[in-house]
Amino acid sequence: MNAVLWSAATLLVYVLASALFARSGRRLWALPVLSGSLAVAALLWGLRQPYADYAQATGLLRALGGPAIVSLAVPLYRHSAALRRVSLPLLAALGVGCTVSALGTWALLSGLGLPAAVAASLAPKSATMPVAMAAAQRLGGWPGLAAAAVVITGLAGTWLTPWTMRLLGLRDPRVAAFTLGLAAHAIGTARVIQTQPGQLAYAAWAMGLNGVATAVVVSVLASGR
Amino acid sequence: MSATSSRPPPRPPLGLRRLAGWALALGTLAALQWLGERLVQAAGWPLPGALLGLLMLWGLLAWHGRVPDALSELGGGLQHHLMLFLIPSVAGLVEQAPLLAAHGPLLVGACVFTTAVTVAATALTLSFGLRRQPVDAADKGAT
Repeated sequence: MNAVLWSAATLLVYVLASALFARSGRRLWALPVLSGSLAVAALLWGLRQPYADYAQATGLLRALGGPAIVSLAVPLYRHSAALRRVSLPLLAALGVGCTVSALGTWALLSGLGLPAAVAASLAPKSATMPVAMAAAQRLGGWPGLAAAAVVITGLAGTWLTPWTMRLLGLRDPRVAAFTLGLAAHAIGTARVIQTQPGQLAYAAWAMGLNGVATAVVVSVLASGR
Repeated sequence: MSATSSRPPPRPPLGLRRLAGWALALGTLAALQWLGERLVQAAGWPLPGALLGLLMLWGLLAWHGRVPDALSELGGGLQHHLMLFLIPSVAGLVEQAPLLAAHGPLLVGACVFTTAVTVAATALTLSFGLRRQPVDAADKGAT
């Protein structure tokens, strides 16, 4: 019963958040994943419900995220030829992006004198949540903090990408899609689905491969310490 | 994919056959995720099972040579509502409320700053790499 109730509440919140998003003219501040999550958080807080109960009740909803990610193989397959033609630039951008985001974050935070566990928790934050939580743990960080950093980074990356592209005078829609997937994982990829579905393959490629690359980089970093 | 394919073709009426196709597609996606999870667990890789499932489906599609209509429709539907499936996880941020209350500005600042640098470095690298690679017809087509 609880499961039905909380899943229905989440669905209702999502429908309302999507309506708000459509009405706003698809503005970034009205991103359904943000407004919807804030509404759910407010609901939990208002009803004094522990998050663990809510998470368990919405298990089926969260479980559908898995098949949704698996299905990203469809655009990847359809664009295989186009992706193969530019595989070198894609790999170069993956190398730079993953190094800057994982190693750069770790080095910067360690250099600023923050506790090693904080640097370890934030380093894998551009990867998808399961990758980042496992990687943070491996590096001596806290999975909970890693999860928070992943969410903040996903939202920040989704906001920063169009803005940064404009600032740098970049217009290629493939670059926008790839950057959203690499820096902002599933949240950025969901944004690409909304605004430029034709380039979804680039976001899926970047999100998937950056997950793998981040796990590898963190494993190397962890074994080197 | 031609540019006109961004408009979906007229769809057959909703019947038992189409519903069964979707169920089969969902079953396939879930089975691949499950298989991916078993594999990463057995191998001890720090990767999510869904990611491995994605790679396996990619391989299967390449082997099969085409995308079944039901999979294309169901996948598109699931992807369209990806944000819905993310909401329960993102709302988990409330779990970190004490931490965010104590160190919120520092954490958000660190995440935003490093993400901005990541975005700029990634976008510049890829733009440079693609400067002689025009956006072709396939990139303008539908997903």
